[in-house]
Amino acid sequence: MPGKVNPTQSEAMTMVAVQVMANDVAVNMAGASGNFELNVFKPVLIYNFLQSVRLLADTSNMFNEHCAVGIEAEREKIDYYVHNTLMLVTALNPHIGYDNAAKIAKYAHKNKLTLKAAALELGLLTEEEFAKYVRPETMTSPNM
Amino acid sequence: MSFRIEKDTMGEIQVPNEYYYGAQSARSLIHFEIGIEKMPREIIRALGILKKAAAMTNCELGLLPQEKLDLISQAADEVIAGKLDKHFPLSIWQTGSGTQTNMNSNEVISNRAIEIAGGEMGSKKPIHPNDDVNKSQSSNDTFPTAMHIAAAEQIVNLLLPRLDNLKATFAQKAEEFKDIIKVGRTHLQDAVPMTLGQEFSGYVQQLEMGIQRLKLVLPGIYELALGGTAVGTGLNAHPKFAEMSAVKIAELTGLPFVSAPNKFESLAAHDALVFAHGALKAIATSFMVNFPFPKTNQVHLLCRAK
Repeated sequence: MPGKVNPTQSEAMTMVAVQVMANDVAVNMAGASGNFELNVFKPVLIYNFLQSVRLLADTSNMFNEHCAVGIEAEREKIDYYVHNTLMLVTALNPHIGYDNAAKIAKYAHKNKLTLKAAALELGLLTEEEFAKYVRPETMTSPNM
Repeated sequence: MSFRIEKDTMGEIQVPNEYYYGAQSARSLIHFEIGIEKMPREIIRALGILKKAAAMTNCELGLLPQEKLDLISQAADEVIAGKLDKHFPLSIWQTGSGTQTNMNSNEVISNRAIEIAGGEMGSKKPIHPNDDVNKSQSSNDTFPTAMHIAAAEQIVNLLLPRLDNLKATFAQKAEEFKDIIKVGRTHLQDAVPMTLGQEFSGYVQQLEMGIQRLKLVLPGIYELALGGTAVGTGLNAHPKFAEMSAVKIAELTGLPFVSAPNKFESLAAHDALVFAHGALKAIATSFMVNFPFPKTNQVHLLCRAK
């Protein structure tokens, strides 16, 4: 697709992670393979070890400079997801009980309704009560 | 290409004049033409540091004259600075003790010191690769020592500062995003709300713990095998050589290296490096699982170039 921007730094970083995990197997086997007074797997051990250090250091640097510092939140998209999901039903647990909250979630899912519409149709809450209880900004820290 | 004749216990061999390495390195190149993986630059640098520290110690103990120390130090400094890297062409796939690379460093330092002194390369006079550069040492204690110097230098000077930088960026993002409410997900499904700042604070903590784990493994890497010689008994080394050379290495690197309390362990095993690589692997799992979030198909972040 023209103009497509791919998460290339993430791909490089996860490939490095795969290599480090592979190096770990080589380091383990080399470390476990000494005979009598001398381990004789030293070059392969340190080669893999130093490669892991170098790759982790370099990918941290590149990911930081060319990705992390420029990360911006897609605020509208994030907000859309928050308000178009059934998860907010959890806020109703203390007010109408787990079983009733589940009833609303399942009803909304089955009939393709918002939580609010489902709650009103089922007669479990008034519009005012719903607005008072279901506020995502109050749900991100302990609030009992 | 012009050649000179170098000799070792196995006889004569031709070495290109443009290289400082000697007979044993030349033989290794012929017999171990395996793969393309060369001995890392960090190990070569570490050997330069070690050879300089060993010569300083030998001189202090009255085992090496000052003029030889000066020559060895000057050549070793060039190895440390990376000026002689092309003279270290050996493969990783060689003897499992790293002896050929230890000899490579002895030969290069010897020949470069001879050149500085105005002597004839390959003559082993005035600086002999074994009797002077490798004095009080064996490949069996130098190579594991170089492994630890290289590993510690790379972790402390390269990896830790870069992890710190990434952590600082994530911490800044955690603050910047602290009021953005997002869907918290478990089992790949929507769960309950959280803030984007909270999610990033988890990344900060993962990096902090990764850094702490790396610091935890460093003391084992700071223990050096030097002074154990061939099997850990210290045969042909002065009784004070191990402790004194470790002090010198600590001074040259600025890192708190010490002589290993038991040289049999430090020659026969590399448990400290296995343990340390476990810490590296834990960082790799952090990188694999969480940080590359922008690739999830529920893209709620845009990754933009600066």
